[in-house]
Amino acid sequence: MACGTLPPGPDGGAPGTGAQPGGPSGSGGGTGTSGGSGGTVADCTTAPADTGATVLRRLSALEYRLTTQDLLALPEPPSADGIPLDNERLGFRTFAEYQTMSADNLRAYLEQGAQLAADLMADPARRDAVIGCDTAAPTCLADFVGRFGQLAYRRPLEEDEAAAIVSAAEEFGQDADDQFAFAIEAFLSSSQFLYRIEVGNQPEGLSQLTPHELAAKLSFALWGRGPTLEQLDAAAAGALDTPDGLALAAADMLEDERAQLFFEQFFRQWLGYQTLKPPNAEEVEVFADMQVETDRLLEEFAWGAGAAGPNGLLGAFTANHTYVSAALSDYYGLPAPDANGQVTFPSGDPRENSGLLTHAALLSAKSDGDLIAIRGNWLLRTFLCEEIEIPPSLADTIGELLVGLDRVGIVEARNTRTECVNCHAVIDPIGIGFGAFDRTGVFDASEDPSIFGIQAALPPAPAPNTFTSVAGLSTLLASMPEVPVCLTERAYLYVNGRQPTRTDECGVSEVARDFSTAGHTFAGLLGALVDDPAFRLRRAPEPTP
Amino acid sequence: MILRPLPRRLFLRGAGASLALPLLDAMLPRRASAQTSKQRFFAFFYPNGTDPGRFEPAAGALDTSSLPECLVDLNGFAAEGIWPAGEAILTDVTVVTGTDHSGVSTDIHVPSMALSAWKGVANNYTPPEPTIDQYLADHLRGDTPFRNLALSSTPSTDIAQGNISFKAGGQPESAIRSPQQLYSNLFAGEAGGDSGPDPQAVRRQGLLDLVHDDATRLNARLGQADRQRIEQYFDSISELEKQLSATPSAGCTVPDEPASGGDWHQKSKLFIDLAVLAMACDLTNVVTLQYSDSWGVGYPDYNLGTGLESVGTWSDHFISHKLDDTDRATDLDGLDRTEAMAIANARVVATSRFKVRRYAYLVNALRSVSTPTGTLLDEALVLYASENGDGDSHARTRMPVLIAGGAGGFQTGRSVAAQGKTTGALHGALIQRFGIEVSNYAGVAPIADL
Repeated sequence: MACGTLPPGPDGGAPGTGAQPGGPSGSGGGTGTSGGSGGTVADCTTAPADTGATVLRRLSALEYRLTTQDLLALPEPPSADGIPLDNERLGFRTFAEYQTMSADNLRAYLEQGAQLAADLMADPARRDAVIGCDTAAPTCLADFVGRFGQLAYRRPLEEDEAAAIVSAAEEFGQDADDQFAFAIEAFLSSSQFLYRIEVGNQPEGLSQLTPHELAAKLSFALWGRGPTLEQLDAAAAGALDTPDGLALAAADMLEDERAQLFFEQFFRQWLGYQTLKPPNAEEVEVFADMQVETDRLLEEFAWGAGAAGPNGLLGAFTANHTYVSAALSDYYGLPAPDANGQVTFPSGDPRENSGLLTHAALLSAKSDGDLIAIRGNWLLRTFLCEEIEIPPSLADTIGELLVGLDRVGIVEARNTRTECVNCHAVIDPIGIGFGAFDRTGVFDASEDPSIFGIQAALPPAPAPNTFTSVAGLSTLLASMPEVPVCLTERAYLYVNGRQPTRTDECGVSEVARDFSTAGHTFAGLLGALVDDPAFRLRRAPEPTP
Repeated sequence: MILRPLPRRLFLRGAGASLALPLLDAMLPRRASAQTSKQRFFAFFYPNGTDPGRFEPAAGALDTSSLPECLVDLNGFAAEGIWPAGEAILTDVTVVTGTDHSGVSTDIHVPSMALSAWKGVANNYTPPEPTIDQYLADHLRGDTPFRNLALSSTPSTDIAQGNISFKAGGQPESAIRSPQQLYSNLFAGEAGGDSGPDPQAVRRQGLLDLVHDDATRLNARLGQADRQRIEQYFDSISELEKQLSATPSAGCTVPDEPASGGDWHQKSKLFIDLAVLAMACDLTNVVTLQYSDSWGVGYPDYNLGTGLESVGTWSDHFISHKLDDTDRATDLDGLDRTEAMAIANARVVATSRFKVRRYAYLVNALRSVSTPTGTLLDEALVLYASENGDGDSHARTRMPVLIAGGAGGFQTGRSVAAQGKTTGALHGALIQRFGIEVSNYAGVAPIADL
């Protein structure tokens, strides 16, 4: 949404600002759905399944770590130190188009592969488990290449592929053990391992994923790691060929702790508390506790007892309890937690029934600058997928409009000047609602947001949309159909490596509806993403001229 | 691909002891052989602009006695913190005033667009065409093993905040974010000996040949756009081969590994030291350094300003906003406005001077390296760039632009008024200095008299 325009209504189908051909849809227009309220795009009932274009995806650092953990039977994911960090947009490190390959990447993959292979060969138990045969046996290398290669490439190797690796390992391996190490290093630095090769049955245009590709896509989508041998075999035997078969496989995977582990990072990226700097250096330990606080509440409402509540995951918005360490409890001024680390907000506490929104991990994340605008913008972007941009005509002169004004005067000016008011009338009432929470995320009774003369409100919500405590804001958000639609778009981004485009409207609309039908359970959302007929499809991008 | 006996260079496997990087002077190569003059480009990015009215000299020759407040340190400066004293660079620099960067991004703090010149972009954070360093990289590369180095002291990997170098199609250049990684890439693991091909190097090349052939096999299954994507992988192989096969110039001394960690300033200093050494050793001819993202850098360990004018622990971003933004140093709120504005102005002058001193450190470092035809600085153009012009208002019509060096016969010691010509016109003029004929860059003609 550009400043000077109002946010689109729940059925607004206008492309988001910043939309680019074949790229992310940006924001604002969202998917053209109204979540669970039945806002179906007219021709979706007859439109064939389709999907937007997707570039080949390089494994993210997280996917690389989780996949190599499985391949090499490691107890924990290995470090990714040295591998260039994944680029972010909207807090997400999953935008496929920005995850490039460079000499720095390849250098790091080679180093990492060498280290992982050396560690494996030095660990007899793991080595036996991974190699699976007597390395002195004549066929062991070829057997290993075939078996390990199938996991690394997510499909059986062609004869010539396997032969080339065996031959090179025999030529360049410096002894018998090094031949195996060489083969592992080759697999872990190969393009067929580092990229997710999901191109389907034809290289151009719209294609249907092969069974192995579908198994791999499913595994990366729900576990963030490559598929197991059993999953590949099942797919080859037709287990994923039908919607019911795919849904059954997804349901099984969602009950596995690997799904929870992978989507913990989704929540951190979505809410923006993955890479935050602590409010100050002395509070690093407490800051880590803040992240755990948010992790645990979301865990409860995504996977635990809270998921069965009346509003599923959205119950995290209005929860009247939280999880804190003793240090974090002191930080907030809360009563001591119970043995499980849980504490219920006392009646009248400023955090009462405010759920996620008063978590310090979220509030302190936005600690640098104009808290009113920053927090208002953050909430719109995070929960309603609305990105507000300053129009070009204002971008170079905005500072000059505010010369000589104090803090109150600045807020007043931007809520009265015609150049500014359309956006700030949406942003500032939200930010004002957090006004009594300081930049460290702690309630400060001395702060008086009333000095700005603006009523706290959530303008995009249907009237009456004013509130007097954060709990009121939480209740409004939890009831807005746009919130599960936005959450659907963000989960889509995390799973598919891009924002949905016009082409994806029908599918994403259906996913959002299913999410609501499932009582906003997180597993219901993820299951619906997989159930989308477009999940089986891939559209190749148009080549660059 | 032909298998060839190669590199003596090995990969580091685990960092060794952390040692301080020696002073640059101790590491400089002694170029024994005559060489043809090379050309270099170094872009130095520092966020949050300046106060243009206190930064812009009158057009004409730069005059020691009449420099604007923000530029007085071009006359030389004392040591502070980790930074040594610097000699005057007044005659090595040309100031370009009044460059118009507006419209390149319609957002107000976007480092990713600082080295771009194209208006009318598809979005606000990825340049639609290569940034100037990328435009120049292939032309200036020569036989250097590193096509270019993109260095960033910010830990932010946000596409808009943590990257300033972009290839075609809005693809971010891989940024090196730790001096230790840069050191490792440039210098680590040199193996000595003249007893024939290094077995580890032969093994490594066998591995690279294998994965190259494997990717070629993959390509046969892919559509056109996917093959374009995989081209990055092929490029990474060929680039890495060049890097691994590099042998430093004769007399080029490999320094000790730098210490890990560090704040913005410590990282940036190490990056400058290593990058200048990389140029001195003919490992690269093109470097970009992002000193900070828009929000991060501050000056808690420096004494910028005294008394009320002290910058203290306020961030550079907050200082840049003086009095009229909620992102500002609020300790002046209770003062009379005239008095407060004088202090706020003085603080921006203090931070702007600091920025110029850091740029001057880089210029001095390049000037300290002798070449057969002069110094590294003589072969270079060193561009100072920011994402905003007026840090207070975010206006981008008067950008802080400094250019040092003598590449292509560039004349320094001047102030040139761009009179509203765009960044495209500026970049076009710089590109011309490298012998590339461009009559139009980013839709405009180059500045004629630069």
